[in-house]
Amino acid sequence: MVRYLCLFIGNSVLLILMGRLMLFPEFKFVFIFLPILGGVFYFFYSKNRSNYLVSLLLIASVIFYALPNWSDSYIIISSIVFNYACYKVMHIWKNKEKLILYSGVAFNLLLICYFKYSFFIVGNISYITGHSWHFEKFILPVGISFYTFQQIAFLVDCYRDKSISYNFKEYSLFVSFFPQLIAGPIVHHKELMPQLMKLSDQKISSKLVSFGVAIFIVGIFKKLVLADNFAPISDTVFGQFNDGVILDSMSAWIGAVSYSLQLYFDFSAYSDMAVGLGLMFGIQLPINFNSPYKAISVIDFWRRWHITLSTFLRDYLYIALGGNRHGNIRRYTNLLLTMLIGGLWHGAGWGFVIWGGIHGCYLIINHAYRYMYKQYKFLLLPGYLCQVITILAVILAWVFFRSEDLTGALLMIKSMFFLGEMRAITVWPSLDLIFIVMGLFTVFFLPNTLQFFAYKPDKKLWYEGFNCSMGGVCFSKYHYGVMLGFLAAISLMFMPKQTVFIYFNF
Amino acid sequence: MKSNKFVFFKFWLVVASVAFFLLVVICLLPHNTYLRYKSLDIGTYAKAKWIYERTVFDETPIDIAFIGTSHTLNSIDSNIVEDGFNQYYPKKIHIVNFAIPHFGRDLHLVLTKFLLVHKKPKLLVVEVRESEARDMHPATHYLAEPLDLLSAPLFVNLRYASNLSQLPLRQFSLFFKTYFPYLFNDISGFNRSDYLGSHLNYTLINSGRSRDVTLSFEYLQSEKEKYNKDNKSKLDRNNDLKTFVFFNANRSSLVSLCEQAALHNVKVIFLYLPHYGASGVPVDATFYKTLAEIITPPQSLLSKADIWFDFGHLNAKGAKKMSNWLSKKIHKHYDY
Repeated sequence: MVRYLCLFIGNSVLLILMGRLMLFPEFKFVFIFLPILGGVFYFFYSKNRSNYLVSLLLIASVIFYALPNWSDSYIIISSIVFNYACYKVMHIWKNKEKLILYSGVAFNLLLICYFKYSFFIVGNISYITGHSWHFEKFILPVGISFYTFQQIAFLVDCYRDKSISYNFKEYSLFVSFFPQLIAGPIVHHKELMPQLMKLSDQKISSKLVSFGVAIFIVGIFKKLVLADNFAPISDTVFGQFNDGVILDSMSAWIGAVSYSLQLYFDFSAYSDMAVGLGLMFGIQLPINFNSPYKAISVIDFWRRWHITLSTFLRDYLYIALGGNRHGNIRRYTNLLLTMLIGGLWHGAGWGFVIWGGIHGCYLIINHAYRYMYKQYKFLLLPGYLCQVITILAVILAWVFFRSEDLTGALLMIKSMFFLGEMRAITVWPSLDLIFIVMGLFTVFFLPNTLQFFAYKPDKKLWYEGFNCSMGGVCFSKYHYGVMLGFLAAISLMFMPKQTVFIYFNF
Repeated sequence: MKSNKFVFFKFWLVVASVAFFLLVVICLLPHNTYLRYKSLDIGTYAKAKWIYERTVFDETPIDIAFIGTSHTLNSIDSNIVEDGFNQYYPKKIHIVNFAIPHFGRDLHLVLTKFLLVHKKPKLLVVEVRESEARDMHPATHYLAEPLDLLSAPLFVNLRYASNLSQLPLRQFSLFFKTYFPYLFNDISGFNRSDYLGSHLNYTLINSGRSRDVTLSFEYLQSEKEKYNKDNKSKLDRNNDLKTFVFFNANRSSLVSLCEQAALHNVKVIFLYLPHYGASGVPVDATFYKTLAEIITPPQSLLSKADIWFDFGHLNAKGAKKMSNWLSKKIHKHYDY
């Protein structure tokens, strides 16, 4: 009996862990991986064995990432080992720091180019030269764009700041920490390493864990209930345009708006879940989204959308290119270049490059307008109009980001502006329309998750000072419990549906 | 805010209780059962819609029903069996084939219960294969009543938790489709002009593919060897405990099916429809015999290579032969 039971349990656990990658809003993560890890973590924590916590989180991250991806795990392991070796060697060979830095950055760029862009590059060269070179397309190693950028930033900072000193275990956890490994935030080592190094001294209170669990539940709700239900609407519309079928203007707008909502809820949900998970283990991850669709300009949008990527691009690319230090022309060129590379970071395709280029142009126009306004007090627009113009510009750019090819994107844009053939209006199910209106209301009028929880990662022990008079979730008031219970129930209801995060492809 | 742990414990207790209560309420939401059967619209599983229409909307009685998997679906043509059967009996008997692909006694139980509620068959012919399966049917959660999913065998039912987890969304979505149809564009009731008739068979053409295909003896032999090698653990059953752990869920559902039939005074017989070259007797024969009689097609029929569409299923010629043979054989079991 025991033998068969063990066989059954063993089989089940292996199937669970070795299947495809565990996603946060899945039963196996929420009800198996997380409780087991949490149990062991708090067992060590309560027994004053805090020195094991970093090792435990590292092992958990390896299980989380490497077991379902064991064939690809050599990539992240070699990347961690090589980058850490570069950092160590940089400290030893002080006169060859620059060479080591360049080698390290080159290694990271080659790694990402080989696995992510080689197919795209070879395809384009073949197209231009007329040769038909065959190059097998790799399945993108999960999270490669995120951990590569994270480590480039680390190497650059080690070159600049000689006082940086981390051990290998903590560094490995910094790169592979499972809440942020797969789809960000792109955590800067200065934000995470001090917390990991002091994890054994960290006070992990019920309050902190409660905040973590609550934010995690809201993140799951955003992903499963909101993002995943916008996906079928946008997929239908984009699918039609990609197949060359022209839909009416209203349908084109419905598709574009649905995708904008899907993408926002999808990615911000992941970031919320990452923050929530981090808090459960005493780690405060940075904010990655701050209601981007409430932005009043494209400059403002990029301060609110995928903040950690924008920060990386600003600090390690835009400023490295010269930033705004060499006049307006050079500044705008740098902006455009930065955004083109930012677009390419999202994926190996011209759609992403064009999307980056469009945003680069938006930023140039935005900066030029600001300059003009400051110089000549020229045309001050009211705030609401700025917000409308910004969101329209962002939605139009998403069309290129989502479309499978340029033709489909242009057809859709034409349709949105009544430029193509006039088509009979598609009758959309009322449910879809109601859902879109609810989504728009949420992004424009409700506070975002982290505002709701008054999350301030830059302030240590922010949660201790939190009290009910500050608004947001208050754990001594039960109507918040009822509300979270409602969100949890609806999320559980949608949990059996297959899901995937859009940013896993980037 | 009080900082003691009790505040948080109470808070999370409220969260868990509300979530649980809400999920239970959602699971109890009423809906139109026809929409439930229509929601299973994947490939040949979509036959579920016809099964509902045949049982509920079609007034033609059902006297004999076949319950089974793709083996029955592809081997038994209810038209041929009915015509053959009626040659021997003056009063017209109506026969249906309610088989749906994939093994899983839980779905057979669901379909049997549904049939027994709406019609009064006299005989149920339930397929048995060379062995029961370890897993249950992947489509049960589409068709079963909530209580059936809850009361399904627990030990060792690999789909118990997964089936239950699917329930709230199914109930929620069917509730809205039933009571707020104007929110969805594609919801329509039963349309008699779309009804496929009193018989729905896949023996000649299935999924647009002709089933008039033959295979070589060598190919079937190699497939048989491969199957026997891959399924050694399933076929080599010398341990009662192993049988219990791995096959209890399906066996329990089969027992329930027979009990339900007995409650409605409906006779059950088992029809042995194995793959090519299988043993003449099912591994679970002793167990089946405690429930009902097994009828076994002659080896002279099953061992011929030219009647197989693939290793597990008969082709059109085989289905005709099997249906003809069955129409004569089943006659003895029908209680006039």
